[in-house]
This record gives sequence, structure tokens and C-alpha cells, in this order.
Amino acid sequence: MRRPGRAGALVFLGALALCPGCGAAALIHDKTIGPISPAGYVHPLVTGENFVVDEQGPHVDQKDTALLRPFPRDFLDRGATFVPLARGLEFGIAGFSIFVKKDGLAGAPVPADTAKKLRLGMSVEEILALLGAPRIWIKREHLSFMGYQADVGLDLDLHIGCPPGVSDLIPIPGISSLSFARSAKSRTPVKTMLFFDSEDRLISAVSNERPEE
Amino acid sequence: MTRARVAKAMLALVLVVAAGCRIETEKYGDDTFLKKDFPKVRGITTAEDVAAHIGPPDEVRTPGDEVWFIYRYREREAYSLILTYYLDFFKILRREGIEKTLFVIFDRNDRLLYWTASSSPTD
Repeated sequence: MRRPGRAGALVFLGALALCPGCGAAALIHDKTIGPISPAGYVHPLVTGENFVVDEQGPHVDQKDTALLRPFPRDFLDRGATFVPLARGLEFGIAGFSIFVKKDGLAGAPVPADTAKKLRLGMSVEEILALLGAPRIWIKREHLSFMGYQADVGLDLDLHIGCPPGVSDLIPIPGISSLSFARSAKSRTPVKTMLFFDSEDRLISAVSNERPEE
Repeated sequence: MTRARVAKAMLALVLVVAAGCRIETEKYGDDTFLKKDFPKVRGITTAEDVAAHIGPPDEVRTPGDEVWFIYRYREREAYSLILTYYLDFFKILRREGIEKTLFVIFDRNDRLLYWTASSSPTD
């Protein structure tokens, strides 16, 4: 009995790789060289950004999808206003940077020099004039308290290797994988709590440790 | 081999070995209440005592005559190895997360009633 030869095996593997529905190979072919390939689109359904579904099934307007383009056709138009333009520039600069540090502050913390002005026995009016409105104020019969809080954010990103945006422009398989990324994100609250007696006089003030800057 | 060549070779080796690796850590909240203890004498310990030892709470609730001090801390770690060529054809993901919570409950006179702590995975 004759065993199938190497050519038969290659034909079988080729057919398996290119036949519709077999996944990765067909999708990669369609996405990379589909529009100019002699085989055309191999996969029966190539979804892009502009597909619609009607009673006859899904249809794709392939001429307007981002195939063979690393970025969408309207990429520049998306930066038409200041906010997305600024975000895009920030993203671009961060994407090309090996090391990125981002600080953030949400809320109004009690500044350290202002906290030093607090004195026991101060009235609620004096406290409000000094610190402004608290985040929380709970009035009770014996003990009342005010809480001030802000969240300090710190993002650190280290990326060694080919930047994500650049890797799409280099036609070397697996180039985007040749990278190492380490990121650390923290959101630490800076909290101050003031305690008042039944006559609304300050009896103690407590703060947590501020994150290192 | 010069020192510069050794350094370049080491850098290249590290890049190849670490190719596709990503390590992420996230921390939310103030973990002082995990590092420090507070006095736990029922009927004696006050809300001020607790705040003086472990800091102000993240949240305050006042159900009925009680006062609840709630402390929360959450952290998450994720490790991944992803090899990509248009599609992710090889992927290993590992995520770990934990949320720690402390409730300290005071009566209408702001004296300690009871407390409870929990630690639960988030991923």
C-alpha cells in the first residue's frame, strides 16, 4: 500500500491553513495581503469597522476598512479638537517613551502648612474659614466630625522594546512581542478628620501618612 | 570581549528572555489599618482613639444611633506572557487581587461596640 507523500501532506496542510473557517492563517492573510492577494479574501466573513447586518446576513464595505493601514483613515481627523489632540499627543509621547511617570490629584487635601494652623478649641466657623467645605460633615449629640479627603495618584510605566505604535509599521512577524513592560498604579487617599465636642469646638485632628513624593 | 559588548549581549539576552512579558501592579487605598493595631476595649475605646491609631476612615456611616468607620484597601497583580503577530497566538495570564476591609462600630456615645475584618480575592 502506498503511503501519502510529502507533497500530499503539504497540499493538505495548505488547504487546511487557507480553507475558510480555519482561523488564524486565513484571518492573517485577509488582514495583511487580502486586498492585493491573488486569492482575494479567503475567509467568508472579514469583519472590519463598517460591517452591517441585514436579512441576507452580514456585509462588509471592505474598501473603507483599515486593511493594510496601520492606522484608521480618519486618524488625523480624530484630533480635530483640542482635547482629543492633547490626549493623542500625550498617548503618542507616552507610547514612544521608555519610562512614563504620571501624577494625579483628585479632591482637595488639607495642605500641611494649613494643618499646622489648627488649634484645639477652634470653632466650626473658624475651621470652615480656614479649610473650606469638608467632604463629609456628621453632626451628632456628643461628638461631631468633619472629613477632608483627596486621592493622590501615581502611575509608573516602564517599556523596553519596540513601542506598540511603531511595531505596526515594521513588517517583521512578532516584532511587537519583543518587549518587556512593567507598570505600577496607585491611588492613595490623603485623609484628615476633625472631631468636635457638643459645643462645636475642635477637640482633635487626625491625618494619615501622606504618600511619598 | 570588551565590557561594552558584554553589556550589549546581556541586554539582548534579557530582552529575548523577557520578550512578551508584562507585569502590572495596582494599589488602591491606605493600608495603615493593616500595619497598625488599635485599642479594642468595648465600651471604653472611642472613635478618636481608633482614628489616632490607624488614621481616618475611608468611609463613615451613621445607621441609627451607631457610627461605622470603614477602612478599605485593594491591590491587584497581573502577570502575562503574550506573543503576537496580528493575533495573540500564545498567551499566559495570571491575575491575583485581594480586597481587605475593616469595620469598626461605635455606639451613640462613640464608644467601641464591635469590629470585624475581612479579606477576599477580587479576581
